[in-house]
Amino acid sequence: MLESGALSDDGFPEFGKEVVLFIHITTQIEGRKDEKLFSEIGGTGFPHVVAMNPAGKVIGELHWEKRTVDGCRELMKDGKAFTELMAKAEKGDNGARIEYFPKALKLGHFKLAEAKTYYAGLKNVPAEAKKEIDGLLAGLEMKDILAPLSRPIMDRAKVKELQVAAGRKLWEMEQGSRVPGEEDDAITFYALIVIAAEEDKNLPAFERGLSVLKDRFGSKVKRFIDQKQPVLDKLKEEKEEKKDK
Amino acid sequence: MTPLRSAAIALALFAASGDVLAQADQEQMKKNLEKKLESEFLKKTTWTTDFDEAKAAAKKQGKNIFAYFTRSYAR
Repeated sequence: MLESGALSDDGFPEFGKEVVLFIHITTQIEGRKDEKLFSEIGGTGFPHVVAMNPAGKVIGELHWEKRTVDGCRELMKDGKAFTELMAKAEKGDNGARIEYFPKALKLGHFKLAEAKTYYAGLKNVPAEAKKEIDGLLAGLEMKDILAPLSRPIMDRAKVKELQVAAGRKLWEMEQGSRVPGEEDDAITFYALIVIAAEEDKNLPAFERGLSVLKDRFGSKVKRFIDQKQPVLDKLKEEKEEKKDK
Repeated sequence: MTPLRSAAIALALFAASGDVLAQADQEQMKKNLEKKLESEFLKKTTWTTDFDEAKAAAKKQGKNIFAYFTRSYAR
């Protein structure tokens, strides 16, 4: 726990003097000021710790394995370095722009259309950076597709309908070789492809989705794989039977 | 915070058929917030709970903001 760990550490108040400490609590109290700030800054899971500049823009995110006072200090240091890089990029330095762009994408600084425009303006992007940026852009494209699923929905059937609709679009992305690079995004991406493929009895999509989940993320999504594998096997059998007839 | 994000995704995707939230009991939510604000870790140093105040303080003091996002409701 962060609260009983780093935030309660004897060294934390000293760190607190170097920064402005802000706590945001999502409460589900209707009409409360800044209630949606967590989702607005791109938060997807609690707890979430970020560094922000005085304008409230996110300049760094604390990684789970660094949840110590030293890790918090490192976060603020990295945030400062990111701010300097951003300033350099804003002045038009192509190298700085290439270095800044994937970092800014991860921090949620760009919407898809803006990102595409920025990307188009970069020159001589090295292959490795290009691969990372392409993966991040695919993640952004997926985020747009998943937008209808991001708000609370009371009706389970409606949730399923939206998941299937999203999964169909994500399958189109996969076929166009636009696959999110971040692990969490990729899991969501392929899981939704499987959900839509099951509904549509789309064997190639089902096989592809499940095979990637097994090969790349096996133990993390074991329950999902165990649940879907028999469905895929049955679907294959049915197809074979149809062929025989 | 990757592991928790994964957990959130897992919950959203792999629980039966999606994420269904119960209607929030507003009175209970307010009590939950009060309880959260009484947390021991908040007594050890000075935290700002208002975003505008945090930004104004950061600007005035020439510092960046360390922002901790949590929640007071249970799932």
